[in-house]
Amino acid sequence: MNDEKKRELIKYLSVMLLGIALNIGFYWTAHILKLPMWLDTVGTAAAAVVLEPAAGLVIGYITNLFESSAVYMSDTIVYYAITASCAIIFGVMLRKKGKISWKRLPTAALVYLVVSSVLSATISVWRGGLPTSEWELMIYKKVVSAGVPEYFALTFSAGALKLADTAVMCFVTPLLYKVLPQSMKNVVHFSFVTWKSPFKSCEK
Amino acid sequence: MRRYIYGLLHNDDAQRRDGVCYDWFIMIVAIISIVPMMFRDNSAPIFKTVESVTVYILFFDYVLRWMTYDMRMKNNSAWAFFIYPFTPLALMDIAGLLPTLGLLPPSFMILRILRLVKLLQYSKSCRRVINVFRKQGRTLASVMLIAVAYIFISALVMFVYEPADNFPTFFDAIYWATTALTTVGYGDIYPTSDIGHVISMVSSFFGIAIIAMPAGIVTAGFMEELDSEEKEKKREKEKEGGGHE
Repeated sequence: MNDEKKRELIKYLSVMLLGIALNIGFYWTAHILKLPMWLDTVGTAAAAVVLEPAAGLVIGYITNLFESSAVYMSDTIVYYAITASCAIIFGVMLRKKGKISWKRLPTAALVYLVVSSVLSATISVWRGGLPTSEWELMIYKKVVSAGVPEYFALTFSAGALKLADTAVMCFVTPLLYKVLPQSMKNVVHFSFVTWKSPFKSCEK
Repeated sequence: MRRYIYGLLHNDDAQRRDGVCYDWFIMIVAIISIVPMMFRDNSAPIFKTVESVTVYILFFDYVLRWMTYDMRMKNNSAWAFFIYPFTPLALMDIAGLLPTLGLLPPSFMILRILRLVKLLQYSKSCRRVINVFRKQGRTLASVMLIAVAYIFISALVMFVYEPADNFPTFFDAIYWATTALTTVGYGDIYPTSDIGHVISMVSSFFGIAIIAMPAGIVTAGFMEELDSEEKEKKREKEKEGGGHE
């Protein structure tokens, strides 16, 4: 490996480490201050935008691994589905012809909000039917007592916390992108193709 | 970095030493992960630890495959990230991991066996066998069709002619026909009528032929595969030799 490649790798890994630190740091802050949010995907979204979606997938895995082994039970690793959706939605949707298009941020945030709320509720139902965080449980109980069906109440309570998460992500991600030097940004160009092509290439 | 990981995961020609090490590592982890299944009482803490650690490693391998799937598809499309979780191998990987996480009822614990699919992904010998089955698929399917048709017909004849005490249900007849055709013959169900005896004799002869056929096809295909690999290697060596001159 030549020096230039080594330097690139170090920069890439530094951003990844920063992403993990952001995830865990924000998560602990929210956890200790008992804020109505999780904030464990902030670094994932930032790394997915600054580097590429794949980097977000790895950062998300490490964060979820930490949470499931140190904080929760091992079965909570399935919440990785939400982290992965965050990395893919922000990493892919914000890219337009190889450049980051901040105009797409509200759409990406909205898509993430819906997808993550539905995923979170579905996983909660799968795991036993109740939300994991205190705030979520409180909102859930209030919504259920208002006569809303359980699954929708779960989606709503998860969505309420995810709304706060998404707002922080929409603030931190552009900020980090602007603060980091250009050399640390790995702008990946994806050829967005029609829905037909990927399936064709799968068959090949 | 992703290119490096992609090379590590898809080291098909076993040219990279680190790739070979990674292949062996994942295969060993996959095998270790199913060791607790070999014990009746697998609630001991050591088994739980083994399961948790191996599941985390196999899940990480899943993540690595996900993050390089666009390279696998060779069109650098972002859709690869959306498609990967729904590909057959990815679904099998996840299905093999979920029972350990307690997210499936105990009756689904057998799905853990799907972790051995990793051996198919990483072992060169397994890939060779898959190639043989893929190439000889049509021939094997036609032999299978003959076998299934024969089982069905002989079971039907047996079911009609034999007393109800011998073959209470059609499923019993199918079970008998299958064990007879494959020359296993447990002896728990057997014919007593003359027609039944005749069918039983014919089944035994047919069984040898029908069971021997796929074995021969697979062996021939395997030899062909090895031969073409040898030829490919020779050709590459000749090219390299020519290049040096």
